[in-house]
Amino acid sequence: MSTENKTTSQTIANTLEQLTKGGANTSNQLVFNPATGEFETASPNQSGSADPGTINSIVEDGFAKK
Amino acid sequence: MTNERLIIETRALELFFPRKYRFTKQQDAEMILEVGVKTQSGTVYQLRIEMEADYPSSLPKVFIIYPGNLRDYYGNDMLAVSSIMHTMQGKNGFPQICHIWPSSWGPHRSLMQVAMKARIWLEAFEAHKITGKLLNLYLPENKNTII
Repeated sequence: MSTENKTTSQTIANTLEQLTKGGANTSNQLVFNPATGEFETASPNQSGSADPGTINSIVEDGFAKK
Repeated sequence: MTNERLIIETRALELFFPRKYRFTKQQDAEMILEVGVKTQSGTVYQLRIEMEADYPSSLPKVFIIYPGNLRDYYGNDMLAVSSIMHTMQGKNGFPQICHIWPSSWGPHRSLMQVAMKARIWLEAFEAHKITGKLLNLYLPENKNTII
């Protein structure tokens, strides 16, 4: 998968916000790059060898609230 | 944790957090996993993941042990239970992340997933520190959460 060059904290935050609002089909794909330890984003219609669902699915799995 | 399970967990951690983790045994918990993570902004955090003897049957607890004295946008510590900030009761001054509801936990999940959730939580936390928006605007609710 080709990803944008440098993903900023702001882009990550925006992507998380979109995913939280339920925009899984329209929001960017969140990808973790183990080589750099950084998140990267890719457009939802991009495809490639990496597994774009790895991080999106973890986000969409949700977080507990007490 | 069995040795077999430890091998599986280590393989997954090595893929996503290579050489950034360490298992140790402690008296107050069966096993501790410490993971060093760096957020997109470059800030370094250290996570302490505590597992009971029956792990992976029981839910591990996740604490942020570095940096200390973590504060929210409003200057409050992060040690209280908060549904809007996705935190559980802190311990020894360390905030505890509410990463998944116990009823959703099971042996099919892994420490790599837990550490990755914490990494995502930290991104949301840093966004909160800038915008003041609550974490529940950045982090969806676990579907099995029961209030």
